[in-house]
Amino acid sequence: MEHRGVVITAGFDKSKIAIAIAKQLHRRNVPVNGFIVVSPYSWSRLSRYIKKRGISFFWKAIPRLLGFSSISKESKDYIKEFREEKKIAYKSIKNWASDHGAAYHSVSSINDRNVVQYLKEATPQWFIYSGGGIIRDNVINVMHGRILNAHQGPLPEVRGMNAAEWSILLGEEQEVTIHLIDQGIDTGDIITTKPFSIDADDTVNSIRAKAKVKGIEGLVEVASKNNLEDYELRPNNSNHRQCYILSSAMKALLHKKLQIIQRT
Amino acid sequence: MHDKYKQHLERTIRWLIRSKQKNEGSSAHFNPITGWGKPYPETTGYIIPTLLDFSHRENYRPAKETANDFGEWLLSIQSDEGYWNGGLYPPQEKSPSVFNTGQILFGIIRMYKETGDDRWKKSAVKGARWLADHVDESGLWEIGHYTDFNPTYYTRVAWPMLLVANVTEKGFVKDKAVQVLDSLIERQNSNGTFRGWGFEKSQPAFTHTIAYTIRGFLEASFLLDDWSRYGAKVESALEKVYKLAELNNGRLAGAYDQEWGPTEYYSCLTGNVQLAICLMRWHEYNGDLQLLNAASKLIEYVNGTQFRNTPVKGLNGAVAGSKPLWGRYMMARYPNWAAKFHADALMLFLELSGKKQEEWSTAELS
Repeated sequence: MEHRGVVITAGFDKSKIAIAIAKQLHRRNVPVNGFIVVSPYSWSRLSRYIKKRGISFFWKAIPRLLGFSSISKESKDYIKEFREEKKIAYKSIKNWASDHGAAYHSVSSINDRNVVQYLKEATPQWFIYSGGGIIRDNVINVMHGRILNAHQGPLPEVRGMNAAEWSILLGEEQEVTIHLIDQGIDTGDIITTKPFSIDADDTVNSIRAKAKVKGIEGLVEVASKNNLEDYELRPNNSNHRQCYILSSAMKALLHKKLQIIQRT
Repeated sequence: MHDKYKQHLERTIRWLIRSKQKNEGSSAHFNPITGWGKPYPETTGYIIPTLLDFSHRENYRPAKETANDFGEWLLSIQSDEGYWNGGLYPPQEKSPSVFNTGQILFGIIRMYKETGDDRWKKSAVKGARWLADHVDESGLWEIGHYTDFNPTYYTRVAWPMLLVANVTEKGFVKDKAVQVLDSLIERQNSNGTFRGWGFEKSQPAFTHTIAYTIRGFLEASFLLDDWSRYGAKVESALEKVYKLAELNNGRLAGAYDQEWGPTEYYSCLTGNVQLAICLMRWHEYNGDLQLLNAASKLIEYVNGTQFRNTPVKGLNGAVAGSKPLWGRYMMARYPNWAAKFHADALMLFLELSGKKQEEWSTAELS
């Protein structure tokens, strides 16, 4: 059966992750049909983020939205290394899409009616989630379970936000889980996992970056195939409480734990 | 970040010490226009353990001395029958109060534990005995209410009764406290809320009294060493509080109805930190760090409202009733109980996060 290509989501145009996924799939001759880029500048999205994460989140996000690295100079930037190693120079999804004949849809919500219509017409093999908000039923239904996500922690143990950080705090394995998206938060069937280690010079930011790179690799590996026959899907039934963004005090506690881990 | 918590804590404690009225208790509140209010026996009572905890933590003598002064003042105004009057001091008329008496017992019994002095024990037993004597067969109090009913937050009266019973081995007091708790737990709805957990019987409840209710049940379970009796039953309410705290980045609405619908536009700051304490106590039971995360968000929201370095001394370190200040809960005032619970929440978080670090370090060494 022929691969029907992929559609990739992103939370902003300068998403290095979405560009890297597209580039790597393209190299494997997997058609990249298009991108759904959720505009970060819609009022409803902004107000939702500020309510959830506070106004400080908004200010901190500005450099990232403009395409600058969010990794501090003291931290190793694994995404930058990955891009250099794979010779990925593009900084804008729009430019990549234009140069490679892929569709580019800028929308105010990932669940927009136009997104559903586009997916119906494009019928991609996979819809790859790489940011843009929570996917709702209308999009999930039209894809009939073919939505892939790279979660930065082990499932079902650590579901929700800041999964790489919570994995450390909760003493769980460091791994990225490639799974299907269903109606719950990180509750879809597990396809495969990509473990990684914490090194002596890692910081919380570098660990997150490392997890993102593992996520790119995992998504590219799975999305290159036109079915999941090679994987033994595991159900992801979770009674675990959903994780949320870390508070300032818990971030401080996380740093302490990381130091303790790195001493061993 | 933990240093920031310590700075907030120090500011709050200094404010509580400044709230002491000459030769009397802690002023109920500070108002930027009218200044310090009259002393409030109820809250003066439960501020005592806060000051003593801080004095032990930081070896800060003024906190201990203030706690002692508060205790002595409360001893001096206890009725011969054992109760304390309701409302601010001096009372306008004789008004035996179940709730005030219970809250003052927190301070009295703590003074006994600190000093071993029998004066405190006698006072505590007299107060607890008065409370126990007036519990009727249905597990409710016949007299001494703030309004015309037994609110569900009287769990916070049963809790100090158990504290007294534990120290003095008064089986009668313990039995009556359990009778009250057994009666109040029956008021739980299927979604975790409780009927009558607000100041008024059928009105939405401030987070302040929601927290009073839940905490009373939690602490009773700890003291009775029986989680299933009350603790397990309030987990559904705590789970809801956890989610609300996370989804709203630490800002809870001032009051909730019986369906957990927010009914006020402002936040009740004392309720925020009181519920943070409840989540942390739950964490102490089940060890889940996610509860500490939600609790610290609730605390950090309140931290962000605290004044420092203003020319008005009564404002430095104060915690308002509402955010914004003109919210209906203690409008335009800075109550001493908001400061008390803020300090308690900060101390508990610092203690628990310190314990976690020790635990991780020990595991690493082994």
